[in-house]
Amino acid sequence: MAQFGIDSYLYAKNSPVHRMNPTTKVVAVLAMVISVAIVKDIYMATFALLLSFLMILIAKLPIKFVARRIWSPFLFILIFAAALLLSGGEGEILWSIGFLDITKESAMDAALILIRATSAIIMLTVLLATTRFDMIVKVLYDLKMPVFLLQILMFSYRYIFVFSDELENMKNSMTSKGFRPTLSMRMFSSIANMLGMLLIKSFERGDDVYRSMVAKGYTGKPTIITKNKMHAKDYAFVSVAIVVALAIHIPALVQSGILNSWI
Amino acid sequence: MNTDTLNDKPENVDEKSMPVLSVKNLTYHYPKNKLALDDVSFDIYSGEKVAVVGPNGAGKTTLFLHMNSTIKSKGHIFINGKDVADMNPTERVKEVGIMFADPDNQLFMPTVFDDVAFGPLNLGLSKEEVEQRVEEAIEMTGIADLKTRVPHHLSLGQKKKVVLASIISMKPKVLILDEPTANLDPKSKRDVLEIVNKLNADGMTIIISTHDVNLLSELADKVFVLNKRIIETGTPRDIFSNPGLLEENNLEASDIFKFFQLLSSIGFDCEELPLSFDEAVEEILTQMEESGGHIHLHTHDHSHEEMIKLRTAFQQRIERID
Repeated sequence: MAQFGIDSYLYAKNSPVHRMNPTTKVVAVLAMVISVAIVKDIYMATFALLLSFLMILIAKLPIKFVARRIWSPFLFILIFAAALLLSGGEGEILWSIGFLDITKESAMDAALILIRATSAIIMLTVLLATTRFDMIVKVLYDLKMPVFLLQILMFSYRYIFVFSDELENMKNSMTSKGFRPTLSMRMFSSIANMLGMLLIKSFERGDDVYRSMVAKGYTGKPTIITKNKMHAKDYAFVSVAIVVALAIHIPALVQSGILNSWI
Repeated sequence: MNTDTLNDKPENVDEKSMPVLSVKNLTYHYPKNKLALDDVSFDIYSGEKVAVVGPNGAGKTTLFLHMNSTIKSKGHIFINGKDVADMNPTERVKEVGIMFADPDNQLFMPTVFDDVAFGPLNLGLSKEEVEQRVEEAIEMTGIADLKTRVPHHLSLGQKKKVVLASIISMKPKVLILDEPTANLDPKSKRDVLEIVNKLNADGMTIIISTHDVNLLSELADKVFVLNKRIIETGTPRDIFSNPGLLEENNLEASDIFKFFQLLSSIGFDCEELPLSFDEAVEEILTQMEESGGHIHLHTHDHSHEEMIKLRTAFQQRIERID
C-alpha cells in the first residue's frame, strides 16, 4: 500500500498540535497562510517563517520529514524567485552578470516571495501532517466549502492510493516480464502504454464508483455527518491566530501611511 | 430449461403472495451487438436465499446491474410488483442493495463511518437515525473497531465487511451480492457467510453470485444456472447431481460432494450425498450409529474401475474449467 506521506505522522506522534481541535487548527492555519501570502514587509514575512519553524518544533515533526514534503513546491518557488531576481528592472544595481542586472528591488522581491511561500508551505505541511485528512474535509464542509469541490478533494484522497497500487502492480508486472528501464525509445513507449492503461482504468473506475454511489441513492446532496465542536479555548486560539495574521500587516500599513490616515 | 421448477415458490411461502423480485423477459446486448442476456425470466420470493451461478461472462453482473436499474434494456424487473425502472433512486435503494465484487469501487468516503452513513443520509433520514443505523450495521458486521479508519488502510476482508455494513444500513428488502467471497481468506469467507445467513434469518431476501461451489449449499437454498439465459434452476443438490449440466456450464460439484460420490462407489451407502462439511459429519455419524460404531467400505468387481472413471471425469471437468 502506497503511503504518499499524506497519512504520515498522524498516528505516530503526539503533540499539542496533533491534539488541537481540527477546526481551530484549520481556521488558524488558513488565516496565517492567507495573511503570509499577501504580506508586503520582508521582516514580517521572516517573522512568519520563524513562526512556521516553531510550529514544526511544537508538532514534533522530524525536520527530514518536513524537508522531504516541501521539497517539490520549494523547487518550483525557487525557480520562480530566480526568474524574478534575474528580471532586473529599475533600481540600485547590486550585481551584473553579463547583460543581466540584479537590482536591490528585484532581490528583495525574490526574497519576499521565497520567504512567504516557504512559510505558507511549511504551515500547510504541519497542518496536513498533524490532522487526519477526513477531519480536514469535515472542517471544510463545516466552513461551507462548495460540495462539488469537497467531493473532488475526498475522491482524490481516497483514490490516489488505489491508483498508486494499480501503477505499482503494473510496474511489478513489467519487471516480472523482464522490463528494465533503459534510456531507449522502447522504454518511453512502454511507460506511455502503462500510463495510458492507467488512464483507461481510471475512467472505468470512475464509472464503477459512480454506479456504486447511485446504488446507494446518491443524488448530489451533501452526505457527511460532522461532530466537531469548538470550545472556549478553541475560539480564543483562533482569535489570537487571526490577530497575529492581521498584525503582521501593521508595518506595511504604517509605511504606506494608510494606518496613519485611519488613526 | 427446467421450466417446471423455474417459478416454483418455496414451501414456506403463502400461495397468494407475489414474488419480491420478478425478472420478465430480460434481453441485453453489449456494444457491437454481443448478446449478454437472452430472454431471462424468473421469480424470487421474500426471504429466499438464491444463488446465480455460471461461467465467467455468463451475464451475472449484467443481470444484477439491471436489478437496481443501473442498466436498462428490453424486459422488466419488478420489485414487489413495481417496475424498478419507474422508481426514483431513493425508492429503489430502499428495495435493493447491491454489493459489487470490487470493494474499492464502493468505499469512496473518507472513513468507514462516513461510508456506512452515506446511504442512510441519501434516504433523507435524521442525523440521529443515521447514526443509529450506522451503529446497528457496524455491530452486525463486527467492524466497530474500524469505524474511524480510512478505507485504503483496510484488508480486503475488512473492506468487504464495510461494504456489507454500508448496504445493510440502508435496510433494503433484497440484498444482491456479486461474488462476496472472492479472494477472501477462509476466516473472512466464514465471517461474510455468517453475516449473510443472519440477514436472511432476519427476513432479508438474498441473491448471490459465486464461483465458490464449496460454500454454495450454505449460501443458497435455490440455484439458478445462468449462461446468458437461465439454463436450470433447482437446489444445490439438484445442480451438483447433474454432471452434464456442470460440464456444459464450466461448473463443478463441491469437494465434499465429489468425495462422497467416490465413497459411494466403494460401498458407502447414503440416501443423499452431503454437500458441505457439516452435512458430511452428520451423515458419517448417522451411518456409524446405524452400524454399531463402524463404517463399512468394501470393494467389488467394478470398484476400481468406477473410482478411476469418477476421478477422470472430475479431472477432465477441472481441465476444461481451467
